Amino acid sequence: MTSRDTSAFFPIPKYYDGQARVRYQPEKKTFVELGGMISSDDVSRTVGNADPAYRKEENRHLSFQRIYLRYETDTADGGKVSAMPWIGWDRSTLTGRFGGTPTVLEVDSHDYGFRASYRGRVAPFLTAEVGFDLEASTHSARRVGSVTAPPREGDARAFGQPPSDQINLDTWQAADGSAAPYVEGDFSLFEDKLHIIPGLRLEPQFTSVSKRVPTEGVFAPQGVFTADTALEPRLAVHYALSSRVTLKAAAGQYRQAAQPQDLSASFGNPSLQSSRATHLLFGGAFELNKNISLETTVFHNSSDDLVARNPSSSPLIAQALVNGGEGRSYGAQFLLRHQLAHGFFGWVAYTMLRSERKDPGTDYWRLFDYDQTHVLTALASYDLGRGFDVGVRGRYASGYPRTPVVGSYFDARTATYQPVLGDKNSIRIPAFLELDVRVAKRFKFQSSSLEIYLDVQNVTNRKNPEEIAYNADYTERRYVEGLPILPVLGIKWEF
Amino acid sequence: MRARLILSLALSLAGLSGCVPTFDDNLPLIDKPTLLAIQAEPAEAAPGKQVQLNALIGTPDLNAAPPALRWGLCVARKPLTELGPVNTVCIQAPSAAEKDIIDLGSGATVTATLPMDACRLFGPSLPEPMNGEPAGRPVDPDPTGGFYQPVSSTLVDSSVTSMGSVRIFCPPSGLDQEQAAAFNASYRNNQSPSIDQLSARTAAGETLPIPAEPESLPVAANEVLQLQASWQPCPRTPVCGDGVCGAREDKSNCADDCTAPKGCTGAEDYAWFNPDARSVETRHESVRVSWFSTAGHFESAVTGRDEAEYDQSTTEDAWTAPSTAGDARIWAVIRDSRGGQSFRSFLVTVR
Repeated sequence: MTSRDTSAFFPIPKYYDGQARVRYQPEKKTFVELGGMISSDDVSRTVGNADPAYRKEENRHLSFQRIYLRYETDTADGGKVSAMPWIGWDRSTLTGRFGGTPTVLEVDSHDYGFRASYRGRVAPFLTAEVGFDLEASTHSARRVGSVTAPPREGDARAFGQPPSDQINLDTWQAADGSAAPYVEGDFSLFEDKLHIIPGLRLEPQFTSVSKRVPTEGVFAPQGVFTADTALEPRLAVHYALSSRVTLKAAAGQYRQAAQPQDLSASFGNPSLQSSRATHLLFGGAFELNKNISLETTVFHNSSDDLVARNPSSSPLIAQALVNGGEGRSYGAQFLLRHQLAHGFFGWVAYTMLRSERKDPGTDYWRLFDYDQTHVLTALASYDLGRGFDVGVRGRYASGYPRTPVVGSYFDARTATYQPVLGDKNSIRIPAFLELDVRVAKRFKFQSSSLEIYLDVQNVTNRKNPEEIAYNADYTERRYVEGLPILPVLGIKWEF
Repeated sequence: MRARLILSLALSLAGLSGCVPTFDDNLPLIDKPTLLAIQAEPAEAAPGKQVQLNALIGTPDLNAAPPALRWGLCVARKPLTELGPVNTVCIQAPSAAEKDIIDLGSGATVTATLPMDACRLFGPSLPEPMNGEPAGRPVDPDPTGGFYQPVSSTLVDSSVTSMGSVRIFCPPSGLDQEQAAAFNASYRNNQSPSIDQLSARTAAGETLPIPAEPESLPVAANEVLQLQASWQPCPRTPVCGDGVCGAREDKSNCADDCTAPKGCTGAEDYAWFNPDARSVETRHESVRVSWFSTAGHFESAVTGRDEAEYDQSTTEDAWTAPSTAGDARIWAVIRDSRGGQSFRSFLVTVR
């Protein structure tokens, strides 16, 4: 964001969401539930400018609908059978213009799924679950604009940097699906102190894309079909060392299919494979006294075949993206909780994390765009009596990594300055720190209750940096700041 | 069934507009030698053709000799991981490797020959295969369908490098025979725009003539002038004899206009292959004017007309004279959306 537009920024958000469900219970241990969810978000913003190259508009739309039918019954032998078919629609659109450069990204998806499972006791020490996950989606997508807009995770860029004006266009269809039988056992040993929960998921998966390469002239496009099968083992172990100490450990392999918007022959790669990840964690829960408990988790995740930009100066056709990225993250989480007693309730959660990526064509690890070394949240609430409550929430978080601007140059064709960037993600936005206070008074009536509250966010009026902004020639930088002190007076009537 | 009704009222004690920073930029102020424009003549040329490159350098000292410039032709393709307009090695000119930068010499004006493989390096033709692999991805065009050869220009004293470009004439790819024929019959290489007239209007509404150098325009301290740049209105329907070699005109049917092909120096119409509709269409250039001065300040650094305003052939900016007496120079650089540019300047004397 440069000086030219900071004073004229008009986002106009519109959103709605809702859900409904109807449950029919023909007998005590059986029910059928029909449910649905609907959600829509729209944001539009327009920035005028005397310079046509800096006139901007952007419209984003995101909506989804889901309908499901859920059947569940408890069997006579103590087992449980469940089945849930569902269907959904997703629509995501981004349309915009930065000067003369258009950006359009539209994806319409139809999603179908069916999940069925049986969970029952196989032996006195073993409970097992077997099931089947079926998911399939069809996608119709259209994209216009620069390959580099919108930017991806790992793109070295400065906030507000104009997108490249080299543009392309593509429309494509894709279909993907998987049919995964799975089995999971729960071995309960040593008088229920030790639980060993192995699981195995067999996941055949396919992806079909309508264009293998960009359409040229009048030639009919040729599609591409990829399929693979993965065996994903998982293991979790819980051990109650004493009535106040429980230890846990888990490991598992997971994978994620390529996103439909990455399967364009012009902007992405229709032959992308799934990304894979291995998760490991170890932790414990400690009951320090009657009211205070502590949970800790140490974790390590590694991933490979992540989708990233092709680093070549001459990438092959239909290979703008490749499965060449690697990732790793490790850290620890702590949760100290004081359960409600004598009118007091509170908890402190702290995560220490390092999340890194290795881009294709490089041999070094860099910080992930959303890496946050420290995230701390503390919350306390006290019942003052006579219906009065007072609460305090404090939050601290390390700032996200950013790529520094170390210089700039003038582009005489567009009459704009372009940033010269330093090492990728080698600086951070300053840390976020905020204190919120809430005071509430409850009134109870015969068939309803009323709460009046005053919620003061950022009570210290701290100017929290949220982004690094540069002036037009990138010689000065300042911060886009978060909301100042924000008192919210509310009434909640529950009946 | 339970239902919940929530009514809330939010009161903000602080204005949310304080969240975004503002900068006191004065980009139009020339307080050190600065490259303001790079003009290629002709503005568009085929691979292998020669172009003349002219630099406009603004200096705060009105009597100073133009600073020395070193030129280079960057032949490094831009990887997709680079969001900027050129490969970052181009900016390291002239110290970049010889394989990336072709030295064009020094001076305010140099001549460059576009590489024969310019359409493979920076255009729609498939690049040379590397390491036994199939040919790579062609370069995407800009919104006008254009491709550009990057040019570096470095101020020798300060080692500050700026980038310019030359529009390369590369036939668009993916057209069938009929579309290619329609495109070739209609497309005319870009002509650099030029400022036909500069005028200044005082707050009282008086229009002042802009004198040619070395004469200067007298203005009062802190006076606000409304500067207007105008360019030639371009014919929307080609007519032989209108001085412009337009769409479907050639030497055989309009020798007057096309023997030595002439374009329009305003917002030209040009043929554009619409890859979405897969048809050859007529579009109009947008025109922008960048304003610079050695003193005072402009309301906007750049003003202009976008494509939808193609029938407007003027743009205005307000310039406020400095509070101290002295001479100042004002430059106006005009650019069209196909990469053409030219410039004019004049002197003012603040009393």
